[in-house]
Formats: sequence, C-alpha cells, structure tokens
Amino acid sequence: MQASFRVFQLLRIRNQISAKWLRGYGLYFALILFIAYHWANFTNNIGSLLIPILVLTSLFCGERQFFPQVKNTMNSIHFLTMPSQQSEKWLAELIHTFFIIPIIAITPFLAAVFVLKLLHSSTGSLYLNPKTIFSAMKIYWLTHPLLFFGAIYFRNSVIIKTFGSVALLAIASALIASGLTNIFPPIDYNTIAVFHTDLPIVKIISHPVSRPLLTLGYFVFFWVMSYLSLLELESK
Amino acid sequence: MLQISQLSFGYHSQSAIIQNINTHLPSGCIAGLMGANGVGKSTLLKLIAGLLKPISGAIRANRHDSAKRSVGLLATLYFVPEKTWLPDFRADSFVKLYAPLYPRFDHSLFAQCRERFELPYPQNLQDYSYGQQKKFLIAFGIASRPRLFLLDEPTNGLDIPAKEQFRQLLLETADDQQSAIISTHQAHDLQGVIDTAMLMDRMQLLTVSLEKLQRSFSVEKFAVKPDNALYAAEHFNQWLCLVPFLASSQRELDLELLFKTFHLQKRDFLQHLNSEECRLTAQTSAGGNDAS
Repeated sequence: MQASFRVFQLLRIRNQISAKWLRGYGLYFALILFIAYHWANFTNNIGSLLIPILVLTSLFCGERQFFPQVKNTMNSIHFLTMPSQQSEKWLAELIHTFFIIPIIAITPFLAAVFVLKLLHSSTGSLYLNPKTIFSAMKIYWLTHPLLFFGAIYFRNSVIIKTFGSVALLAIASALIASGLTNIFPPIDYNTIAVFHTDLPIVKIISHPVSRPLLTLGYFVFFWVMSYLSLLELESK
Repeated sequence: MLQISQLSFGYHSQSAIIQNINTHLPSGCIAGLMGANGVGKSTLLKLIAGLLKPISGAIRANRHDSAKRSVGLLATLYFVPEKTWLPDFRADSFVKLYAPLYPRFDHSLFAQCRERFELPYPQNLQDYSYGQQKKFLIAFGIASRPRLFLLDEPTNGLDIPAKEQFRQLLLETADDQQSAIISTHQAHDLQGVIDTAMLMDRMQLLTVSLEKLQRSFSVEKFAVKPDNALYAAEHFNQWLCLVPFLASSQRELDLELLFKTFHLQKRDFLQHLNSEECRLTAQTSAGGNDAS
C-alpha cells in the first residue's frame, strides 16, 4: 500500500477524535453509567439491559460511520477526488468499521462496569463481562458485511433499507416456496428426509467445515460487492 | 492535457444532457466554460474529475481515463465544486493531512494565497464563512499545482477584492504544464484571465482560443444596427454589436456578447468562425495556436 493509505487512515482517526466527538463520547459514557447504576440497583442485573443497548449502539454508530463520506454530494466529491487508490479508501473504511468502531463502542461499557464495581463491590456483573460483551458484538460483526455494502448502495437510512430489503427478499422467497408447494403435490418429509441424507449436497452442507466456509463466503461476497459498488460510485 | 471523445451523459437513461461532444484542451490554457443553465457545465466538470461515468465516449485527462479515478489522475487534478464541504477540523490539520497526497504541493504558495485572500489561519474549517471556505479551497487548489484545475463557479460567494485576487493568482501561478477550466455564469469575472473559451450547449462543446475569436469577431458600437451584425444589444441609444472582424476596431472582445451570440445565433456564429473570410484574416494576422 502507498504512503497515502497511512495518511488517509490517520486522517480518519484524527477526524474521529475531535474535541466535539470526545465531548459526545464522554456524554455517552455518562449515560451508560447512569442507566447501568440505576438498573443494577433496581434488578441487580445490569447485563440484561446493557447488552441490547451495546448491540443497538454499535449498529447505529456503525450505520452512521459506514462510508459517511458518501451520504451527501458535497462530501462525496471530497472523498472520491482524494488522491488515493479506491482499494485504500475501501480498506481504510473496513478497518475503521470492523475494528475501531467496536473498540469505541465497547470501551465505555467496560469503563462503566469498572466504575460500578468500584462504587458497589457487591454488584456482580453476571452478564456484563468481556466474554458476554464479545458474544453480543458478534451480532455487529455478523451484520457488518451486509451493512457495509448497504451503506454504499443505499447511502442513507442504511439499517432500515438494508434489513428491509433482506426482509422483503425473505418474504418473497417464502411466497415462492409456498406457491411451489401448491403447484407440486405435498411431500412426505419423513420419507424425503430419510431418503435425502445420502445425497452429496446434504453431506456437504452437514459437514462440520461447511458452516465456517459458508460464513466466510457471506463475508467475502458482501465485502467484494461493497468494493465493486465503491468503484462504480458516482457523485450526482 | 484533456481529450474528450464522443462523450454522452444523462442522469436518466432516457434523457441525455450531454450528447456526443468532442473537444481537446492543450496544456498551458486557462479556459472559461460558458453555457446556459442546465446544459451540463457542472456535469462536464464532474465527468472530467471522474465523479460521474459517461454513458458512452471517453475522457482522458493528464493521460488517464477519468472514469477510472486512478491516483495518477487524482493527484494531478483539483476540483473546486460550486458548493463547498470541508471536514470538521482545523485548517492547518487539513493541510498537514491532505497536502502530502499532492506531489507538487507548494506550502509557500499556499501561505501566499492565504495571505492574499486574508484568510484567518489556523482556524477550524467549520468556523469559516461560505466565502472563506471557498477561498480556502481555491488557495489549496492553487498550491497543489494541479496539471488540470477545475473550478465550478469559483467566484460565487467571493467578495469583490477576493475576485480580483483570484484572477491575479490564477494569472501569476499558471505555467505551461497546467491548464484550468473555469465554469461561470458571470463572464465578466473571466475577462482578462482566460485565453480560451469553451462554449457549450447540449450538442456541442466548442473550444476556441480567444486569439482566434479576436481575429474573427469585433465588438463595436453603432448608431444604426449594421446588417452584418451577428448579435446586437441596445446600449444607451446605440447598438453594441458583435460583427465580423474589423481591422479598425480597438475594443476588447466582450465575453458576454460572444456567449450570447453563440447561444442565440449559433448557426451564424459557427458559419462565420469557419468561413473563408476568417481563415484569410487568420493568415494575415500574426501566428498563434488555436485550441479549436
């Protein structure tokens, strides 16, 4: 990668840590602490509320942070005419949203737990510990390729449009499937299930290696799609 | 420097706003891009900068295909859009971060431009007014010493002294390796700055040197409208006319009148520009390179 990548990446980080942003981040931390404190007093179970908050915050922060430069025309002119490779711009966004955003999202939670422990040594973090936070963040990481692609494709209201499209696709698939069952005679699933366990495709899908491979395929597919969309992106 | 071949573009597949245009702009030119509202001046600049993809045809700027947005193109091109956007950080941070991306960036020239534009520095970019943001971008653009400098309505939002400084800076800093295309509705702002006119409508982009235009047309005032006037505008009980070249005329070519003639009397304008009479005038005049 060229030197411009370094500059570009530094630029993004510098852009993140502005005084205004730090103020907002501080307020975010204070809000989590406030909710966590009162929720812990109320239920003695801070994790039950905080983990959904963590996931939602990461998703919405991520949505705002996924390619923010393409959300309006003026901003996109600046972004697209910046002299660096399209691949550098894409990679910088990927690093930023896949690694930096989760760290930014997790830190105030961990800090809140730490402060709560100092204040109330009896408040046990049954749910809110690094392991559960990591498993909650998996939702963010799993939706990342989809939203990363959606951010370039839709530009605005990314979460609604992307998940809306996925929902529509699921509904359409269900309708087609139900239509097919009306056309073709009903199937005896018990017989079929027994019969089809020997099929090569069933063997491949049920193989222990298939699941990680399919997950990898999902990640690669949407990331490549996002890169191709970036190459075709215009500033209208 | 810039080669446009068979270029067509439309925001919707049914309606092309630019149809099949061709042109060539050599190095060392400062060109004024003039056209009526909606003919696609800003669109053309965006196409050259690689921000839009043509339906058909090609643009080669600085020996690179614009549509590919390669680093080679972007590092030698600077585009100042009509409406500006600047990130939310200090002006000096902006320069520190972005200047290394432009290999020919001249920090002392940037300081000079900043001073000439009376820009408060360093200051947060968001605290600049619209005019100051524009000045900042123009100063940065000049200092990056691009081979192709694209400016879309650069004088919009500039105060009167800044407009003068802008003209001066363009003239002082231009060299043989650089070209600039300035799109504007205010032709008077370009008077004395440009050496090439790019006259645009949907079907045509005519790039012609002012030298050739001066050898082909004259602007004169007449008490009675002459028959051979290509365009005439009433002006204080007289007629200000664009007429075929008059050796006796001392008046500078009026860009606004020239554009009006192209816009309203295009056929006559082109017919005269390509006529034998013009060619003969050109031969008798001192030599010069036309960019048409």
